[in-house]
Amino acid sequence: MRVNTILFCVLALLTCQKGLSQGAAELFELQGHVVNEANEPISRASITIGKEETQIPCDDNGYFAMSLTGGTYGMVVKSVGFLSERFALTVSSDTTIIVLLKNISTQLEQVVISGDRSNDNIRKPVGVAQLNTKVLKRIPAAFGETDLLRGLQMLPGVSTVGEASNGINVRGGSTDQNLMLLDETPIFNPTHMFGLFSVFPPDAVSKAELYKGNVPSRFGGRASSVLDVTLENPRLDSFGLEAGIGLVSSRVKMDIPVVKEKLGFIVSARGAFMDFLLPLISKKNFENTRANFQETSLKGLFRPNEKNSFFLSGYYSKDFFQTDLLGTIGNINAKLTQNSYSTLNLNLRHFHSFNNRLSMSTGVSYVDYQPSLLLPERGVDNTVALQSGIFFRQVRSSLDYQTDKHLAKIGVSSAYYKINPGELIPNNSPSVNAVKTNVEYGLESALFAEDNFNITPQIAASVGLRYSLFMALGPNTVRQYEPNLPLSIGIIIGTTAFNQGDISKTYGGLEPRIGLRYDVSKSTSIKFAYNLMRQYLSTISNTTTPLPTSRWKSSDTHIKPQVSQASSLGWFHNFKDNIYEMSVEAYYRLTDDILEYKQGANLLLQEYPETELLTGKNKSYGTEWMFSKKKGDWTGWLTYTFSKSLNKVGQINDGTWFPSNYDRPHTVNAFWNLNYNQFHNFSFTFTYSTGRPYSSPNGTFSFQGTNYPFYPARNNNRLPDYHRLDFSWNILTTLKEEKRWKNYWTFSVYNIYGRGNPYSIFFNNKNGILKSYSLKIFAAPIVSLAYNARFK
Amino acid sequence: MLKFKNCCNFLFVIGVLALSSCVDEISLTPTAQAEFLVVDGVMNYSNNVDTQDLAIRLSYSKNTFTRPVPLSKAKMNIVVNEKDSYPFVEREEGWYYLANRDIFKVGSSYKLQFQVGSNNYESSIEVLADSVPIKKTYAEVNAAGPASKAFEIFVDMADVPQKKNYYRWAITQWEAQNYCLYCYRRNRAPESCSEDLYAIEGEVISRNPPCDGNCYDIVRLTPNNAISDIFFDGKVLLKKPVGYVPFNFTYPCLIEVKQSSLTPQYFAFLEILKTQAETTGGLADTPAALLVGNIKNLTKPQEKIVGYFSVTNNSVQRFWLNRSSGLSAGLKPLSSLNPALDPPIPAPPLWYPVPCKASRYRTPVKPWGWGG
Repeated sequence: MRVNTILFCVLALLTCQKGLSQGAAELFELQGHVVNEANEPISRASITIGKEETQIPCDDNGYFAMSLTGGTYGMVVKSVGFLSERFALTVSSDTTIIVLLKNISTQLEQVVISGDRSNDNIRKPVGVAQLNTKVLKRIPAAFGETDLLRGLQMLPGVSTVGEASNGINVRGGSTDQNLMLLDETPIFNPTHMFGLFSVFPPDAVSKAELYKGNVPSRFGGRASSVLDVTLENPRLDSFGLEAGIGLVSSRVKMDIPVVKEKLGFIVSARGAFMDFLLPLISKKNFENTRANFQETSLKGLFRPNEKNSFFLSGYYSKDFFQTDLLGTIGNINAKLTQNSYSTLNLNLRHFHSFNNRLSMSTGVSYVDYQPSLLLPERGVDNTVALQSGIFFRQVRSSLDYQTDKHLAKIGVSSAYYKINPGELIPNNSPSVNAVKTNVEYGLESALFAEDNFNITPQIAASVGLRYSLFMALGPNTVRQYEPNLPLSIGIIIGTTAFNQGDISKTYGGLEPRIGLRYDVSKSTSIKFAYNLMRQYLSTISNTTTPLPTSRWKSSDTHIKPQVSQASSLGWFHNFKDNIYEMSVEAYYRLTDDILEYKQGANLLLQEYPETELLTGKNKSYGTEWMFSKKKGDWTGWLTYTFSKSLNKVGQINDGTWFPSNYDRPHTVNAFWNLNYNQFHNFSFTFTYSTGRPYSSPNGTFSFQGTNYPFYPARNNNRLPDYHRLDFSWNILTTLKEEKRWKNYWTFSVYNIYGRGNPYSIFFNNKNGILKSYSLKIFAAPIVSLAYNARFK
Repeated sequence: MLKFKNCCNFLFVIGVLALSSCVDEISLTPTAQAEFLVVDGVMNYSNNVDTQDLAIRLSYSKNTFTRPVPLSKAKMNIVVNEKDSYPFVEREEGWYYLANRDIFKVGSSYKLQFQVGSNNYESSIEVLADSVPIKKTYAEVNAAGPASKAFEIFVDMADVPQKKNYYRWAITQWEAQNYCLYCYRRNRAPESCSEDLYAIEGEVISRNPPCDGNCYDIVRLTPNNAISDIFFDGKVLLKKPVGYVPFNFTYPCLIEVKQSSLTPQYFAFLEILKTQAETTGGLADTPAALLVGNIKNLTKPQEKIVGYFSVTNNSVQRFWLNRSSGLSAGLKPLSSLNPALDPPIPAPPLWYPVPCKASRYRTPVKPWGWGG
């Protein structure tokens, strides 16, 4: 049997509810469910039926339904990452089918990139990007580590401040304006090792969707984008094992069916613990450098019957790092600063199918993010700890209803926040006092409804409406300030105390989400989207990229939620049987009440941070161009992005618009993947972008015996342009299907020509003379080799 | 715009090495240059007259990364408690000294006023805080560091409880000096030589006339180590590092540690300075912005003036630093105050000794505490 032979089966067929039709015009109901080998639903697969190539909408849970007259139809079922299937189906009564598509991820055959469907470029809403793990594993990565956030940076509209960024910037938004969801639970710190790797376990992720334009109304709480990452569901039929050893981390994944076709778990773990070698390599350079992490993810599936499914997701990670490249707390006499943080995400979801048109999904989530700074003191054997935390609990429920022409969803959600801004724990310190700031409480609730439907055969709409309501809750004490003056300690005119459960401030409003698509032809469409999003929880940070320990702050009496309005317009064209795709998108986004520090502000253990903050506006706009080849021996894409992100905050730069830290006007990304044969696969990526802004002095001055730079304005200069070429080579050593063990090697070179891209330029005194320096994160080619094995 | 002098040649073998990635020195040529008035206006008062430092410097910064141009002939005075005014005297070019040293009292307010041409300048009001005693000062050899940071200086002190305090520590070092002039070219007459300790980088010193009698160089080390007692109110602060002393010579020198009690406003200004000049360049650096001090041009309010006026109250301790321990730790002395200034070349016979000229950086008077 050829490896790439399409395997398909119809597992269940024909549930007759009526007798045979007597008339040719009689309509029958065709209902179906698309699943993978693990009986896991394949969301939004492409279903095409008949000579007219009628498209049947398929929902997030893999269900589809339509009415049609009796007869025999040609049917095509496709989904990215799976082998497509064509078959003939005879309909003579109401019919239910289950379509099984085989996953191609175990083989090195051609990779179909971007989108769930072959014509997805034409049909999907504007501003939605998708990456599946198959593509992700082809993108060359630093140290050979497959990484979701680095993969997303190859897509248009996604950027960072540099190679050690603790998050991504989407269409000119800050890192905290992205709602990052891992199986429906929010991730508050998305990276390990301060940006070197993302927290999303590469082996356990099945799909990632980035909504940067048309955001469905079921998502809310962030002003810029939504990254919806789904963990892979367990197979319920057979045991599976995968393991990999890399230069930085090692990982293992187990697929454990407990009750065949009923109950199973998939467990994955990853760890990086090679940092003890650093001082051996160079004691001088790395004596104070440590970086390690461990993470575990779990996904359980219990399917007692065809109508009900229960999903349990869990994720736990623990990180530790210390480096002299990060600052410390100046008012504590510490010899080192260590960062230690942990994340626990839990999610339980019940899915119930009333029938093939109506289903309900209900879930509860629990997140506990605990960042801390550890400060070993000088002169005594004691470590002072600065502990903070975010506790998040959420309940949500939604109903999905689908007809021939509509895919509708209505739902409700409510999230409870408990934020510990910081607690200084002296332990046995003779020099440090215990300090505790008041815990913040908040409740964010939402009602939402959305529908996808065709207005005419050429015009489709995706319309959603969300109403969100945020309540800042007691116990807390709210200051009153003299009106119409900048907030400061000097203008306090009173305080109001709120008891536990009291509402100290309420914000809320409607969030319309509108998407329109006009099909110019079968291969060309024009799309428009408008979004309004409200953000009630923000990071307040004065650094170029937030630290894991950066403070999260909920809206309160004096700190308003950020409100963002974004519009997108795009042109999309496919040609050569959907093998090639082209698109151009333009966007404009205006965000009110973004937060900035006052100059010299210190939010550490600050009980009333409003006096240390400034609010302002951000406007972002740009165009995104993409050309891609989706199928064949070689696949890939070429993108160009023009983007601007400008802030206007208080009197910074005399109250004028100035570029944000992540304003990078020109970006070019290219990804080229070649399947040389069944054993060898080669990939290249190239990226170029304008250097990010930084503040450059135009003079120096001497004060108290020390020379200092004089900065005339914020972000008045730019780093040199960034560019880099990467390469990876995947070598499959076992190809035969019957072999249960399969092995492959990944050889990669990151930054082939050793470009020393500056991460920052700064100024320091050296023997009394002010000198300028450039910090580079990856200043040389990084060669790595990883071994992966899979047992099935 | 950027010219890279050198690049790192690391080949990272495992990933976490990147966290300690490379830092290169670069030559930066700004696209524009600014000319601005700089006021180095901190008056350090203490009960001991010998340890007071009541000088204010005015200068113009005209070129990037070069020494400032002194601003002479300004009329300057200090206003105490918004009523009594006391004048300054310009003793060295750009340096203004308070003529009356008896005006300082804890709780009194002070304001600086000066006139340059037709422009009148004025500072905001600063209030003198109380001083807090130092318990102990001491040095330890920093064997891992370069010779320029061979001795780390520590302080033990007890904070005053129930009161917000802000501290800064400055170090002054007295070195016995044998050469009293520095010449930047060969065979120049002493009259054309300079007594300035701080030459521009790259200037080459050729010959140095010896001193006629005792002479002591005064080296001020003023790291921006300001802190608040926000986390240690009323506690004892042990082994607080306050700065480094270089390993110039193997013979001893005199060290003074000055513990300044700051006003909250001046502390906030120092925090911004620290952020802009010393805590940038890491993985999460803070974007710098225009630094505004507390001095305004009353005639032309739009002028941006750099610097700060403040008054600090100081506790002072001096100790005799025996630097032979640096040799025991395997360090080599620099053998000069500044390698660019004082090459170890013996003075030729044709040079005759010159007197040690008293200045802000040098004194013929043996300092108090000299010899331990």
